[in-house]
Amino acid sequence: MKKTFVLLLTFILTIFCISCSAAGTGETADIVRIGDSTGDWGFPSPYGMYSRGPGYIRMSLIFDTLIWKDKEGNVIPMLAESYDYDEEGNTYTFKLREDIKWHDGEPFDASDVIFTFNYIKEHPWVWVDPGSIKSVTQDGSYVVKIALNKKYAPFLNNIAGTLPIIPEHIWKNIREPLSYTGDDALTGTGPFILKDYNNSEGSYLYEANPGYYYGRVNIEKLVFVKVSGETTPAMLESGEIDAGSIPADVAEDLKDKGFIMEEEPPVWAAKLIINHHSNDLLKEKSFRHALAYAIDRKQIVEISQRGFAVEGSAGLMPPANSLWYNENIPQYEYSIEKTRQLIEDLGWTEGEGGYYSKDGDMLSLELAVSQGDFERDGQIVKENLEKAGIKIDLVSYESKTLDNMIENWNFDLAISGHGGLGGDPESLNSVVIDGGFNSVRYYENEELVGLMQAQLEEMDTMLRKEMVYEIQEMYAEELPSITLYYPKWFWAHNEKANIFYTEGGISTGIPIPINKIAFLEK
Amino acid sequence: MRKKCFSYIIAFLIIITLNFIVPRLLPGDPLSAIYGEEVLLKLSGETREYINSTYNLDRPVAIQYVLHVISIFRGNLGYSIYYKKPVIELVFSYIPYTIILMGLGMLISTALGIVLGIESGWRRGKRYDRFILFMMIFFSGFPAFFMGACFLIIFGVILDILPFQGAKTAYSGMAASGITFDFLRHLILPLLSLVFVFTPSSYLLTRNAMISSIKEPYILLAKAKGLKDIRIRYGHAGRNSLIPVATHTGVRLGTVMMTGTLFIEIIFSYPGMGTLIYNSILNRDYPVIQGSFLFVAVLVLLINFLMDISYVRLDPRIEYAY
Repeated sequence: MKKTFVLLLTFILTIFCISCSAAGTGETADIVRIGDSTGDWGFPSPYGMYSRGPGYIRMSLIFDTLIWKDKEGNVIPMLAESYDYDEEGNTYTFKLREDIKWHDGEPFDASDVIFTFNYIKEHPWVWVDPGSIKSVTQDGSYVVKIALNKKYAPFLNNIAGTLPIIPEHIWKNIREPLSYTGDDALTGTGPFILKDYNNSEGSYLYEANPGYYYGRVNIEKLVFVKVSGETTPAMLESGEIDAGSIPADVAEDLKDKGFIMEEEPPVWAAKLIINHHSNDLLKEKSFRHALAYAIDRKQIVEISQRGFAVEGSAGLMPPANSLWYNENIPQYEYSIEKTRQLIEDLGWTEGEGGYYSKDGDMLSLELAVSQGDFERDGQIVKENLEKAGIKIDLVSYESKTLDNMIENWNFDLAISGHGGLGGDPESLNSVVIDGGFNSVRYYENEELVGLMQAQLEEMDTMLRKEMVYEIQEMYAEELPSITLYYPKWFWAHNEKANIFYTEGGISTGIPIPINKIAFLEK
Repeated sequence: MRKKCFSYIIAFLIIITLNFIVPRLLPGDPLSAIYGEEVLLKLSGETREYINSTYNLDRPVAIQYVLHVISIFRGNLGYSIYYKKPVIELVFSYIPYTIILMGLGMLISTALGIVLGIESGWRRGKRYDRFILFMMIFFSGFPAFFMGACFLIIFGVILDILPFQGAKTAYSGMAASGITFDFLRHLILPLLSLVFVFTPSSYLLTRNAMISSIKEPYILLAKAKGLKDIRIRYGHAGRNSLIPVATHTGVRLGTVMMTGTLFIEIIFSYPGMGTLIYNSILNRDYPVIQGSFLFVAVLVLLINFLMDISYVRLDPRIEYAY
């Protein structure tokens, strides 16, 4: 009896302790609540956040960059009130604002900017590669000059508009930034100050920075809570959250109920990855063309994505990236006849069961998909290819196992995807010629590789645009992977949460509609 | 008893080794699993080296193993590569929820299963027994996630009388007593789902054992002695039917903690060890996989040890077996 009592008391005390851990962080009326299906995106310091878009967004509410983007994607001043580029000296000069204070009251100046650039050289930060930077110097307390090793067109977007400036007086003593979570680790200059973060519950509570230099913050508190995607609509309707990502199917219904819809620019690409590296048949460009003609991308969009997607472009760049998308690329319209012709030109003849064969071997490939993610797409691609005479063995793997197989060229065909195509076209390099995890690592066409490298150094936007257009044309011709579709995702919000998507994405191209300037008085 | 303790130590050492080896047999590595999905990252060679050396991933596996064993004996479970936190801190931030949810779920379902099983077995073949048996077999067919989804839709969405997300209303501004009430309200639906899923197995085991027990001569003797019906049912037949239930509960604990509650945690966005372990496997976060499995394994060993002791209480004849 005594033991049962002790056991019960332990339970009650534990419940009380857990439940009371958030006591004292009460809300006021002026609060915006945002639901998120993952919840926890890490401790929102530049080094503590999880290295994904939502982690960056939570960090960006506390830390500012030299420049930022408005709703239309135009560069706007932030810590720097103006900037200038000297082409001859290949140097950017930033004139900093003189009225900025860190959250702890210390003044902000050029030494903090110089410190940050030096700090990321010593302690690499995964969002910015400082390899292109030759030197960072100051000219007085509020002017910073950044000289580059070579011309680097994405500098403003991918470095100056992405790198959060950290306070020297705090970080100069921190040797292990990845694990630093001290009270002062979240001292920034941004519009919000973090009041609470609970990793197990995936919740964040931010309070407005009353002395924000850029403008008055128009809400008192901003809260992120964990809410599963399927239940977000119900939470929105009950008023428990003010904004959240919703399943596409309920977008119309919520719109009818008075919610405002934000359609995420479809810049996430679902692709058929082709092993052009170690499979002799798939090394043949014309065979890759045959595959492209055989896949009915319209059917995938209609059936698998229930119409909530945009058909893939052969040039990879999505139409939603209006600045860089080349609309004149010839697409591989669905045509079994063309597929058959191309396969027969390679010496294959139609044999048993309608499948092609050569020298007694059936034309057969394995199509790998990750469990749950692309299985329906995989079935349609299999049906399409088998209709064209290619036997397909559809196999599903755990997602990271499949990633590993792709990385080690241990597959024939695979369906996988990635985002990042909404911003600067440097992302094309990341997914085509860089050695990164999402790259198709295609080096067969030297001209394409050369052009991709050269576009990074072209400072004239119009000339660069022409180069990026040509890259898309060449990519469509080489076809190292086939873009199947770009899914459409939606956010719903009420009038209290005045959120919006940023053209070209936030910082390097994050397609999340939580731009901190949405919370500032106009 | 000393022999038993020795076997527990051997089991512990094997667990440490397996915990180290198995995550590394999974295809992929932490770097590609954690950073691979984000195209916008700039993972230069230097950055990769920096991350690998920070987490000792650049050292030979044998050295990593030795460091792992030394850390454990120093009470350090390592440092999470994904969560960027000490594993012990992570486990302690998640495990209270699991203990509450799973502990209460196991406690209520086992108690309910035992009581219903004893009553059912005692009245074998009668209307009450047939009805309870039918209901239990019916509910045992439903997987946890299905029960969870049903409760969520009925009580959370249609009737809108109970919260169906998370463990509490974040930053509600309530007083401490209100927050406790809020926490308990959030607990109802996931707990109810677990109770519905766990009860049938305890019930069926107790009922079967009860049916065997009531045929024993000591029951006849107890009846002949004129003992009260309830005393015979619970004090004699019931008590002797508990051994299989106790064994079953102990053995099941590890599975329940990691897999049973996982679906419930996901459906109700409820924090807990299931979610932590699932995410750490997805991210190939070796230190968290090792640390959480070790924690769960030690907990299971401890409970088995307690079960071993409780057997003697339940059936003193077992002591002579040692």
